[in-house]
Amino acid sequence: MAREKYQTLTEQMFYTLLCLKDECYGMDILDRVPAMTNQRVNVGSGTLYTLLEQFLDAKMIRETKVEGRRRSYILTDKGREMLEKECARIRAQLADYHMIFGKEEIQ
Amino acid sequence: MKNTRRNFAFFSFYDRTGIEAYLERQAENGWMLDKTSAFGWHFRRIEPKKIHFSVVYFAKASAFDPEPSEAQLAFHDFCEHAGWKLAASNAQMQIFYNEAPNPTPIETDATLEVSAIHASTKKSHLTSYYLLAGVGILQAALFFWRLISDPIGVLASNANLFSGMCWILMLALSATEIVGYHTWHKRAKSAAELDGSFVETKGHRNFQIVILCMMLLAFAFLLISYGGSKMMLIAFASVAVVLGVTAIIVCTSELMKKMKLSAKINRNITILLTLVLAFGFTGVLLISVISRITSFLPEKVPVDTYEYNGWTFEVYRDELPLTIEDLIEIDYDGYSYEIRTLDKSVFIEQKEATQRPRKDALVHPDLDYSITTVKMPFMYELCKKALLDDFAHNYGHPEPEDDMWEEHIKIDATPWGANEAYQLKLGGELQQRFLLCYDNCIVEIDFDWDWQLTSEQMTAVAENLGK
Repeated sequence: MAREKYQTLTEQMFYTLLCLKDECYGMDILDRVPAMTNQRVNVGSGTLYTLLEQFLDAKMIRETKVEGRRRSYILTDKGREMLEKECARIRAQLADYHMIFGKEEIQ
Repeated sequence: MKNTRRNFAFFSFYDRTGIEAYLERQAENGWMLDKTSAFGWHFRRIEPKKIHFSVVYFAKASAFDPEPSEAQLAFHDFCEHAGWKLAASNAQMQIFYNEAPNPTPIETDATLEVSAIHASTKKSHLTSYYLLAGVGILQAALFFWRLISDPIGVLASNANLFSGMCWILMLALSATEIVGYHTWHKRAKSAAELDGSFVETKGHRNFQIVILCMMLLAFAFLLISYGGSKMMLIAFASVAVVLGVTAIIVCTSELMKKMKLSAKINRNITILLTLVLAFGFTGVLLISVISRITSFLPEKVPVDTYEYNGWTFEVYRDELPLTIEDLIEIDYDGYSYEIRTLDKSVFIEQKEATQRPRKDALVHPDLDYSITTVKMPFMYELCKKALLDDFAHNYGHPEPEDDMWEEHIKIDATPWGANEAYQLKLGGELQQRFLLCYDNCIVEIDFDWDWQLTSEQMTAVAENLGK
């Protein structure tokens, strides 16, 4: 069964939104995400382009500046809410893990 | 040494994996993709090296765009920022390359990628194949209906067999593409949702090449079978029309792009032009074929002509396998002997022969017969049934008691030296018209109504026509 859109965020969605806490050029996210995650997460340029379009449509981000083809974006309240929801979900997962294995099990 | 070359790339539109692997192999062999067009993929010579290619799909693009839209250029900018340079684009398909050793892929989310491929394929490629499959189903159904209603008419004509085969192959090709695409899409969508993996695309490159080769071989065979006749010219003209119409349409669309006309105008004019040219050229070809046939038939030149009651009649002296002189003693030398090959194919050949006295000497008997040679034994029963149905037919639905009611009566085949023999009964009276089934051929022979057949004459028919 298809997953409901934005019920959970993928890592790439999560970090893209995270980068937009402050105003940022879309293209710069390509460099920020690997830097932020110590190269653990990379967002492909095509994927980022599509995600930004989808976030705009869902009003999770908004456009702040247009300079030719360069556009900058910032997180909206709705986007922030989605991020918080995702954090709460991850925290709940972590708490469940601790309950079963205890804190010392995490490497 | 040539520094450029053009290849015809047989790939399914959505075959991202196959196209990338193909282009990477070309680069390793020293050929870099320069551009794609309706007339092939253009390559330029480079130093052989390992280059990564990425085929991505931008659903908002159109084959009719005069130039890339701002959104498309912004997409290209994103890719270029990540080290991916645009090599070529073809409608929604965007082909990028990257010379870095391990570049981050352009698409890193399988769900989004599958969705982009689906939106683009649905927009162009799949629609074309659905249209082609629709026409293919219609033509194939028509072919099989004709095969059932007039098997000899279809099987004896190389042109009918060729067009039937082409449509069946086109149907097979479009069905394979449609089913192949939907199968991949279903699997890819599930896998992307399940674990985020991308199911590699699998096109039908070899199948497409086989289909094209079969069509070319069939066309070559058709041309050879026409052996320099007028039909060969018609076949060439038909292919020239198809290629010419395609070239005009593609070039006009390209011209409109250069003139910066909008994608909508370009698409509408192209569709209109396609319809006008396709129907127009087909009509012109049809009219010219009909006029040629009317003005050039008969192909044979008569040895003589004569006037009778204001009409001109032609006299032929063809060599017939069976003549009236083979059957009876006759003292008349004004006969016209004519034999025509009605149709000829790899399966069946049909000939029709007539021996007629002049119109001013109708007291002398005449003779008509046709010979259907069945070259493939497995088709014999089918041909026999079709000829028997035609031999005694009841068009207009007369009643059995009517004067026009026809039926075939099975008679003793031994005197005819045949395997089976039938005689026509019209309105309850036996006619001097026979259908004789020999090993490889079926003969339909029509004598004058008052001809008294002898066993010697039947033997002569068997010896001359039944071989």
